[in-house]
Amino acid sequence: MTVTTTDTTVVALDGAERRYPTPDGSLAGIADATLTIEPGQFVGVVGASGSGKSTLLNLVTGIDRPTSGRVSVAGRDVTSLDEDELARWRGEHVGVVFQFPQLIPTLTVAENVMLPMDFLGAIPRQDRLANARDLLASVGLADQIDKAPGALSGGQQQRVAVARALANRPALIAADEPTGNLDSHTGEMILQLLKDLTDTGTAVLMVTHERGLSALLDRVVTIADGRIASDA
Amino acid sequence: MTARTALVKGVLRSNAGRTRLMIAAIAVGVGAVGAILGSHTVIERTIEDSYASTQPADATLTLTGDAVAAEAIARDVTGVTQAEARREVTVRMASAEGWQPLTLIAVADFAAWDIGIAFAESGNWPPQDGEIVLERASLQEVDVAVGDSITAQSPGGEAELSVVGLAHDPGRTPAWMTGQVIGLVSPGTLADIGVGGNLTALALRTAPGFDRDTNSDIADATASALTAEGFTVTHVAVPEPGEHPAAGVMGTLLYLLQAFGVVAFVAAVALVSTLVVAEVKRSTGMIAVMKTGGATSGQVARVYVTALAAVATAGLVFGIGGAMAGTWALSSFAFTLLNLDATSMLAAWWVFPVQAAVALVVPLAAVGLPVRRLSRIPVRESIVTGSTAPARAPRRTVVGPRWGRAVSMGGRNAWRQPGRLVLTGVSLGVGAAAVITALNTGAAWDRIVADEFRAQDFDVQARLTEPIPRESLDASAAREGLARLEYWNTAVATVTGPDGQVGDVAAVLSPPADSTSATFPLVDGRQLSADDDHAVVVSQSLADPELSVGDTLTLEGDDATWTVVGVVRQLSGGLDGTVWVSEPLSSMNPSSATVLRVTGEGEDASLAALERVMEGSDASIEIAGTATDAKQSLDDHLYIITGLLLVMSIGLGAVGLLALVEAMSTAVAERRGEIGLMKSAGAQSRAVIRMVVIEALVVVGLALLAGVALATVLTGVVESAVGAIFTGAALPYTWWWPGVALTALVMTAAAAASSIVPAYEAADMPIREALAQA
Ligand SMILES: Nc1ncnc2c1ncn2[C@@H]1O[C@H](COP(=O)(O)OP(=O)(O)O)[C@@H](O)[C@H]1O
Ligand SMILES: [Mg+2]
Repeated sequence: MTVTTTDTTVVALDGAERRYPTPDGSLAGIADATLTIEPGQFVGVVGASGSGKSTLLNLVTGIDRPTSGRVSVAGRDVTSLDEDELARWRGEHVGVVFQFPQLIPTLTVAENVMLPMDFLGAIPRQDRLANARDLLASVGLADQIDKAPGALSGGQQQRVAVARALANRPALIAADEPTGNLDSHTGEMILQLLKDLTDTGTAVLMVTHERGLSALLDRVVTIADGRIASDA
Repeated sequence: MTARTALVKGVLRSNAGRTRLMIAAIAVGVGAVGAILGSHTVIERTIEDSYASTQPADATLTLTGDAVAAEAIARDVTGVTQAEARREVTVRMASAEGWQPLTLIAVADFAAWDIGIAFAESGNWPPQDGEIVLERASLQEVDVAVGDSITAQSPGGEAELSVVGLAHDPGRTPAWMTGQVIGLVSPGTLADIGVGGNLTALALRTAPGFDRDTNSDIADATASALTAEGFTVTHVAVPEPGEHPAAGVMGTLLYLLQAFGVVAFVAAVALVSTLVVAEVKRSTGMIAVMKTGGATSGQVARVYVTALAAVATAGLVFGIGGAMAGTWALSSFAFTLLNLDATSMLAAWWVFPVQAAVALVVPLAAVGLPVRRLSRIPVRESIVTGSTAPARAPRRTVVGPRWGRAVSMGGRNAWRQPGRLVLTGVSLGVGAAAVITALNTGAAWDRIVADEFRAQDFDVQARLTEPIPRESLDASAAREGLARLEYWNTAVATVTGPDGQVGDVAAVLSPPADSTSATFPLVDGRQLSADDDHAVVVSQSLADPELSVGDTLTLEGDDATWTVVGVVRQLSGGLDGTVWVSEPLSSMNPSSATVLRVTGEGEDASLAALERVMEGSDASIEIAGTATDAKQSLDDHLYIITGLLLVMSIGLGAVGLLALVEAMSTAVAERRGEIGLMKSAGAQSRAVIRMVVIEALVVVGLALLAGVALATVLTGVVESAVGAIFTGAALPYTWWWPGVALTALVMTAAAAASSIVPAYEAADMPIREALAQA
């Protein structure tokens, strides 16, 4: 398989491989992953537990590094960056949503959203609160901004996590089972939120267990035993 | 407020107790360092200034004849800027405790007094004939008040003097060190007491900045000039310019304080480091969130460094307050000891920036490396990312109810964080070492005081105004109920060492052959024996460091050369020590005695009996004292020093225990997941509690070992210093094992108490919650 990329391609994996040694000598992780994602695409990643979905996602977000192959996101070759460069690059171009909201309990909801803005420093200081307010309004939490995360429901917390991922207007949102810990109604809200994002040109790469999302998703990448089995 | 500022605040607020503990630790460290440096500067400055304010003599010549007539001659000598006649003579005074030495100082005109002056403090000034003004520190030695009268007596006469006022002489060794009552009187009063009205000493001042050698040359030139005019100069004394006579004692005390200051600071830094590193470790999850949100390692580290800087600043503020209070307390203590008045209790300016540097730089330097390392942990390793990575397997554990299992797990757990174990162990160990040292030092002191009195068996000692024939009082003593009466000869003599240098002023003691009070504990060599010829045994303070067994010496008042055959530990004695001689000096009359030691039916009865015995004799008692009085004054020193040491060491011990509490709650917090696993494997709460308590006990056990090891060194240092201050020689190296056991007991109890709360919390935690936090 060859990769064709354009100037605007958000994600380009070219034969990316991440292997973990296992006790029985076999290899786990992901191998030979080749994949591109364009702006505005909503791409789902499915597969059995332990098939390598999270490994793939962690390669894309720079949380993990490939043992071989190339990973390029927002035009940067991720493998060439050191930890600090990676952090800044991630802050600018990639928003990450985990299965658990991972909010910082000592910060208010708005402050959690503002934190990536503070670290990157791209948005002028005086605009950050207004930005955070807008983002929280867009996820339907305009009236919760001064609360502590602990005072929010699980679904609300996950929406804050989405708002935080959007803080620096990244080109890509990477979400690893963002609805895995939510009831189906709340989960649907999150999915709709991500769908709305793609309409504004943000690419979304989401690992999910849920079936029947084809209406929502532009593409579904299926992983089996550490390899991309299909991409359609 | 930016989110990052909020983050720093969150770090500080999420565990307010820990934050307060860190502030307290830094405050203690800064306070200790500041108080010690501060009091150092205040004490040094005050000693120098107040000594200078007395315009001390640069040399003093003792003459025969009237020194007033010599003043003009001395002033003409090159280098002499001022000369003044004076007299300093020791007589005795009657007091409730018996007879006591009374040093009288007289000058021709107190109104024009110019050299080695004292300052009027209360009552009348200057003293007229028949009046005395007492140096204020003398009141500690004798129960007299202004308005009372005292009886002063010399071999030549006796006079009733009314105490009309108090004066302050900041240039003298204070009365409590010498046991001398000091008074200022007119020359006329001296004549009344019977020691003659002549002023026989000439005090000289030379130009400022001259050193001791130069002053010595000038004093010699003055002596020659006076000799040429017909005076006889019997003695020339040239002190070290600008040095207060008690400066050496104070220097040793300050050295001791410095040692404690350093130890306190090290303990505080160890505690703060433990706390900060534990906090950073505990928040790896949060760090991962920050990094996922785009934070660089530097930005992460800055959050913690900023939080620490805020804590350090708060600690600094409290620490400076504490340091000022400590400076005040330590300086006041020193000034009470030295009989000085402070001009200002404010430390030198540079102490404040040093404290700031210590508060801000040292903790940051201590945590810099671990924080840097921790802030670099990759995201993947520090957060639940959704990867099904196998959790790092907890050790296989079969949890049973038996202690054996709890002991082995608790023990292994203690080793799992070697860095924390070391820091907690150091904080706790330092505290333990300090407490043990303080108790050891108290025991060492107790021991030498006990030895001192075991070596002597008498009720009352009396010095007589003139020699009496030996055995002359035996009959009347037996009649008055005195079971034992020893006739001694004593003298005060300058000891000239093997190098020919005139040195220390010692009490020379020539006891009777069958004395029960002449065998002090041997440090080196042997005791005197009956067939010795011109042999001496010297006290340790005299021996250290110039004299040792085999050396020879000469004694003022005797032409013979004496050989040192032994060194004993002895506290009582002359200014610089004691010399026990195998036979009387040639200046002593072997068939008479100047000192009596009596034993009867108790001290009071013996004193009364001795007074009655002496009524039938030509001589009278110059000074008499009981064995208990002497012991009491030695014990007083003990309370001062042990009290000070204990207060400081208990403070250190408290810091150590706080470190333990914190380490245990961190350890439990870190191991929630594992505890969840234990419980899901069927462990009962009791087993969990046992495991945690045993971990605390293991830490305490190790800290105690470290503390005992450190105490072996610290005890030596402190016992030497305390001995040097109060006895002129190191105390015998002493361990008080009951103190060690007591320390161990208190630490063990505290460890159990400090771990029980986190242990219960851990044991009560629902399994699901515990596992979620893994
Ligand atoms: N850090 C790691 N160390 C060792 N093996 C790992 C690590 N992370 C993932 N694996 C292994 O790689 C395989 C794929 O894991 P993962 O990508 O998390 O699967 P998925 O997210 O699809 O459930 C699994 O077998 C897992 O055990
Ligand atoms: Mg996964």
